Amino acid sequence: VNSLESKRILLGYRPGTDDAQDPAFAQALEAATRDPELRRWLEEQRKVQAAIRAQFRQLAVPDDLRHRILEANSFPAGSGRGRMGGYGHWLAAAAIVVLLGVIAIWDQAPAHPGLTEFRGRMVRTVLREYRMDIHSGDMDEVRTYLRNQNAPADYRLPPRIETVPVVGGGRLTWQDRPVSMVCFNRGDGELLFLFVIEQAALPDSPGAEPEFAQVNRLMTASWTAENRAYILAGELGEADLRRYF
Amino acid sequence: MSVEWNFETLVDRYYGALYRFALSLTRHESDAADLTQQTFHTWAVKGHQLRDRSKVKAWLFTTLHRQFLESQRKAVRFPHHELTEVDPELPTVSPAAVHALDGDALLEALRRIDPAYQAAVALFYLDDHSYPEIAEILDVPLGTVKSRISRGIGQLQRRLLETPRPIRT
Repeated sequence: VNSLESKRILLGYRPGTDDAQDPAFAQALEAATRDPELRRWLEEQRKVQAAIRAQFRQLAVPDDLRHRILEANSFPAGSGRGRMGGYGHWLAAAAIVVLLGVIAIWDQAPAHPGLTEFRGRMVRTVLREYRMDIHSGDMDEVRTYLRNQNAPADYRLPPRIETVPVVGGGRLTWQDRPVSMVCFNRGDGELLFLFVIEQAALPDSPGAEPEFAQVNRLMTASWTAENRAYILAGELGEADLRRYF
Repeated sequence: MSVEWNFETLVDRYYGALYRFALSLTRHESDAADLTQQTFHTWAVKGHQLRDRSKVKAWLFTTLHRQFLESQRKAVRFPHHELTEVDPELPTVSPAAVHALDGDALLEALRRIDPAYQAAVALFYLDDHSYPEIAEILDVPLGTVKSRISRGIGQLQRRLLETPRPIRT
């Protein structure tokens, strides 16, 4: 296998997957260990592929699509949910038990959700589906949009965040309070998300120094400044996130 | 009841990736949403026939792809291409060039590659489908999937180079 053939094969290679177990990929990867030019090309390709993959996964999904799917299939005849047959009464009984459990959990839910709940909700939002209301590389445009949406627009960025290109933002809500979401391009195909909410919305708002916490796949930093609570989140390690402060 | 069989859980888990796959095939948001809804409706009606729970994800993507082909009113069977047929020149797109694009530019570039490669390339990038899964979804041999992806990625990167567009404002 020469260098060009190896490149052709490695175009379809994805690090961190089962691809490496394929003999053709394994052979081409092995060739890359012996060929510096091929190794450099592969490293560049990995970055390109990561960037393209991120673009694919950022394609916006309509906000109401989930609701439309569930609504359209509420009680479909012969559906997966309707195929209970003779087990129906058992499942109905189980549903009652689950409902009681939910009520019990509801009773134990915090009366005044705070930082943990807010942080968890914001992370879930960006890990599942979100849509930037405005796509812009101009922070002033993003601020103007958020201000017009009555969302926090007077946020102050940590100095090193100001050097990261903004790509857009959006208005979210939490506990009926407006939340500003600002998205930054980290430069490696991944985004950083900044969430801003008025401090009064969080009974246990974080301190002035960033508090780091892993939430699901995202590392988060939370802090408060000038009556605003901030969360910076991204799919990266704590050390990498600290570099933005 | 396993979570794989819970309708709402399935929707939560896959509707985003299915919609993006549909969008990469149709390039129209409304068509993609319709295809995604239609796929889940088919699951609601026929999903209970699937016995192997590990196949739910592949079943959904396969169903969506078939419905797309039916909507095109042509059961397209693309010819097999060997890797040796790949164009001699490989693209040299940079990560920075890709970062400068937006989703519309990506879809436009995907639209301009050989139709035989589009679905395979989209599945390659979306949701980490394995090569055997992609072969199953597209109902083609594994070797064909490999060649389609390799050629498709090459064409996609070339198209990305040809149509640089800034992030939309």
